[in-house]
Amino acid sequence: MSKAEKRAPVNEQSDDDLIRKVQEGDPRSFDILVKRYQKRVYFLAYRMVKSHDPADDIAQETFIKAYFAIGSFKIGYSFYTWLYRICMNLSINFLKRRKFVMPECRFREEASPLEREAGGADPSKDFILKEMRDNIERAMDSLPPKYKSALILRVYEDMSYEDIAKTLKISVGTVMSRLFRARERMHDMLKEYKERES
Amino acid sequence: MKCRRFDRLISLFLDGRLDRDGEKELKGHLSECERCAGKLALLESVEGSAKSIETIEPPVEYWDTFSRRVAERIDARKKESPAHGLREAIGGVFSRPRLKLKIAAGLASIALVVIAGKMYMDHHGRGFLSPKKITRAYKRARHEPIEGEKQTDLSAETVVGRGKTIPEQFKAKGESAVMDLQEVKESGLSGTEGDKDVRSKKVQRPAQTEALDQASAPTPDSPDDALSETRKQPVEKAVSTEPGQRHGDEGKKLEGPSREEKHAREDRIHEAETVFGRKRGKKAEPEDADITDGKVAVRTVMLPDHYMVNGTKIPKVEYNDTLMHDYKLRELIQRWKLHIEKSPHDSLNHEGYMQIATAYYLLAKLSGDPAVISAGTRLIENYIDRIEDPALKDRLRHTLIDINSLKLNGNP
Repeated sequence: MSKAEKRAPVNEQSDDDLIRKVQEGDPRSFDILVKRYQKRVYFLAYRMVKSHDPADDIAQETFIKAYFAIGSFKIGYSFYTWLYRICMNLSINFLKRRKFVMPECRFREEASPLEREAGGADPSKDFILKEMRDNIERAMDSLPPKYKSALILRVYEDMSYEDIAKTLKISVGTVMSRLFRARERMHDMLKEYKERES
Repeated sequence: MKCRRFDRLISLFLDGRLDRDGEKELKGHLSECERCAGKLALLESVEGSAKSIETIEPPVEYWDTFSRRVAERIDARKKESPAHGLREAIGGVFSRPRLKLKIAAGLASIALVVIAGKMYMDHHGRGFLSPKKITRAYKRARHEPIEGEKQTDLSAETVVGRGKTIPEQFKAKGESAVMDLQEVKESGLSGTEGDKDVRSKKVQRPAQTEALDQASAPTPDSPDDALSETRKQPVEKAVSTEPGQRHGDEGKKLEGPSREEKHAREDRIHEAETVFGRKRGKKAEPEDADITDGKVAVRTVMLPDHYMVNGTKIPKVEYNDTLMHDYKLRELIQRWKLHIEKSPHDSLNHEGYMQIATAYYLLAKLSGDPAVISAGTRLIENYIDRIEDPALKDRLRHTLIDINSLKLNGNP
């Protein structure tokens, strides 16, 4: 490691540098990587499993697996793509084991844009928004894991088709196909809810 | 159906993956199609809402302690399984590029040394699976000459001359005599005369015949010793079953072999040798029962339970045989008859005569057919006139009597 690298603030060190240090046996560098990606990993897991405790467990397990496998990680590849892949696999495995997922809304500190628009003063509008939110969540949760994972990475992580393909280890064509099918199902389910409400 | 195509374009449009032409086409369709326009609007609002709705934030303490909790779990995992630690250690070793290179270089050099050593050993024929050793072993098994090695003489004469016993299949009961092929030739058996002359020449070797009679089993040390030893071996009766063993004849025994029987025995031994020699890779002698130019015919061989006649196996039939079917008996008769006609001087023909007679007796006994009885009677009478050997004549006459007695008794 060069002197410049040594003097650089911790949060400015690149993923590759930190990974190299971890591979050479420096555990503090791994701590930095954990702190850098802990939120993204947690939220990814949460969006998949819709529950805090399993999401917390999955997020921790993601980093543990990454630690023990970091020796085989090739410097130059995207670390966060690799992390996401581990997290997705753990989440999908969890969903396969647990068929029914009850969505949780435990930590809500800020209102959604829809709620703010609505002003929050009209209870009937609040109810409608809540209903809509619940429907969207329900529709999302009912998606098969492979469609849900692609949609979550696209909608929440704003990943490109190529990054999604790398993360899920599928082709770009498959990414397009899965997103299309996810949206078709979402549309069919929400249309049904809308017709019921009207 | 048309809208189906635009559904895919809607999905691509939402992700910003449509080119200008595609976007233009979609917008043109949306202006006309209410269904597709409504679909696009719904999906846009859903995805927009989903981003804003799904805001869930754990408390700050959660994030502050997250990395510590991860570190604790890692330590716990390491302590839990030594294999895990070992795997990690190994993984750690292989994660260092320089060390990996050194290990790879070391393994490569070891492999090179092993390969070079193997090639050297193979080249000098010292490897335990070297091609040279394999080739030698193969040639030895096939008795082929090996370059640079002293050849073992595996000719029948040498083998037999060493006093090696004839294989069991060629040995009749009690037979252990061996004769040297060269000796047979020298004795004058290699003449062009007919049967009588051959027999007279056999008579001219009484000393050797007696030596054969008086010999004991040899244990040779050298080919010459073996030869002298084998001459001393007794020549016992070769025939395992005697058609002479019939009702009323149990007490009757021949007191020592007659001259013709001895000659016949010698011929059989000689033929067995020749067959044995042929089995050892020697070429078969020309098939001719006449002894011409030192070459003895290889046509019949007597074995414990059958005869080899012209390459065909003929079962040996006995007087008290109850298992042979009539078609088998007829076949046996035909084969012997054919052989005797074609090779009148074959030394094993006397066996053939008795086999035919015995077969006719059994056939007559089975069928009770007068035609069989009369045919058998005619043939055996013919043989009796032809044969000179009085003992054989006598045996054939006895069989003829038995067959005729069946006719009289009307035995089925």
